[in-house]
Amino acid sequence: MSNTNLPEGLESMLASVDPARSVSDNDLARSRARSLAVMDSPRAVQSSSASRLHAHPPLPESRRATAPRLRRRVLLASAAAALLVGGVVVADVVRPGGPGATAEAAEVLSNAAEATIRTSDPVVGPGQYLKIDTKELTWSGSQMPDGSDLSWQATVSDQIYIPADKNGEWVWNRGERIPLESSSDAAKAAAAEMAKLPPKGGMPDPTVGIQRGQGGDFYGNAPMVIIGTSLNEAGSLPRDPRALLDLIYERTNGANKSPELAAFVTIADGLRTGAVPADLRAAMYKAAALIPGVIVGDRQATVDGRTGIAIGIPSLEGTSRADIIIDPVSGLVVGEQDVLLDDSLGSPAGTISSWTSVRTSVVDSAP
Amino acid sequence: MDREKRFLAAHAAGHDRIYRYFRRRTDNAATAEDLCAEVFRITWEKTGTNESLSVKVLFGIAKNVLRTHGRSASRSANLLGALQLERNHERNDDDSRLHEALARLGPDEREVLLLTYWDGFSSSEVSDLLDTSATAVRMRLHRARKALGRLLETESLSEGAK
Repeated sequence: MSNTNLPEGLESMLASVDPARSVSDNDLARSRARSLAVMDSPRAVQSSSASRLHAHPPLPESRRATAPRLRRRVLLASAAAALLVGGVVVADVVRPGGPGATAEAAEVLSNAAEATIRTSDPVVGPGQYLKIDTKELTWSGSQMPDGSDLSWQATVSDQIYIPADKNGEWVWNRGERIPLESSSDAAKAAAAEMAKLPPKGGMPDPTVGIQRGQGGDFYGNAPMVIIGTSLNEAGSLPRDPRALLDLIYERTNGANKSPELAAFVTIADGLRTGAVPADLRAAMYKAAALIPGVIVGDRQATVDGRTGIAIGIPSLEGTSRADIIIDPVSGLVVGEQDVLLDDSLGSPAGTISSWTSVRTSVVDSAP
Repeated sequence: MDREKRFLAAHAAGHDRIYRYFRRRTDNAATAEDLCAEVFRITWEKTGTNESLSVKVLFGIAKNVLRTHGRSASRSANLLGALQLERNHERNDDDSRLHEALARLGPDEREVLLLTYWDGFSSSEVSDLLDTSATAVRMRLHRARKALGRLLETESLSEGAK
């Protein structure tokens, strides 16, 4: 298959039809001035120009009072919607039955659950932090002076510091994107240019550097262990694998054409936080073993220099597989990866299209 | 930091990106300007409390404002309208094909694509905006790229490969 359309050309094709390319400095200046004026007269915004905006009544003053509950509902709904793939929502989904994961995968998961309980969690004493180091392989890109787009793979290293009292202040040190050694010289030069850019409007880049959030609430949302349950509420989740899996199926009901994939990804997302208590982690492994279609992807998967067993589930189309990588000795999740299963995306089958590694430790202080 | 400083900082960090976000999802500059002003009116209200005003909070507000406006990017009819309007200006056949393929994507997949390739968010930022996990976002992006490629391929079959 030709690579004309995918994946290298896609970014530049999309960029070439970006409607915002026609935005002029004048447009920006006018809008800046207008939106700054709200400081002087909040009401002025609603009358200065004719648009469809005025067809809608302003938000009622009671909005603030009702916000928290509404917000929570919206959050739950959109988390589920996020998993929605084809837009087909079957009202009464048949609960997947059958034998669950393959015998091989079930054994790996069962052993991981046992190892997890044996090893147990590091103790985070008063004043200490559970430090979670993650490193992610992701894509980065830049528009060149001639209008063409250049993209390259980059790694991002983050550290999250969770205080012993999880309701306390969490600290998130977000790293910069560093291009892979294998990137072209042009990509490296572009990445260096981007890093050198002066802070826009005198403000530091909000996606790099130290972020602080009470109880882990960094951008307005507490971190979730599974949809609908925050890490802080993890204690309330069932430790019985079947009950846990049923709850996950219930929370993700209708969210994906494949309930199995939705459930597995939910478990993988919880595990990748690196902050799930050992007993719940063990229950999550056992729950994953009950999901039909879960297989051993690779007995010797290496992510960021560490090796583990990759347990995954293929996408419905069979084009890729989402894996969690488990250290069989400690039962800890060392990372996750997405593996291409065919060459329809322009890279050969077996290519790891993205990965994240997770390392946890206990430290005495946070930045 | 006092209220005005907090607001100015948020405005400096977010305005241009928010404005472009609206230009991409509405059909003219005046509408984008209106919606942008509405975002910062809400932001100004929020500066009265001690809420965080990160760029991501601003985009969260922008998303809601767009939805209230009834021209959400998840409504393909509107997007198609906006794209077609855009096309009237200066578009060639290849771009039209891409517009149509985009308009035919599922709304959720399209939004992940646009947030990534137009608005320039990383998968973890997109996941924050959409209140979902980075894994789910990467999977959706993966599917969206594939679906878009397939749509483009189907469309170009009659004309031969480039």
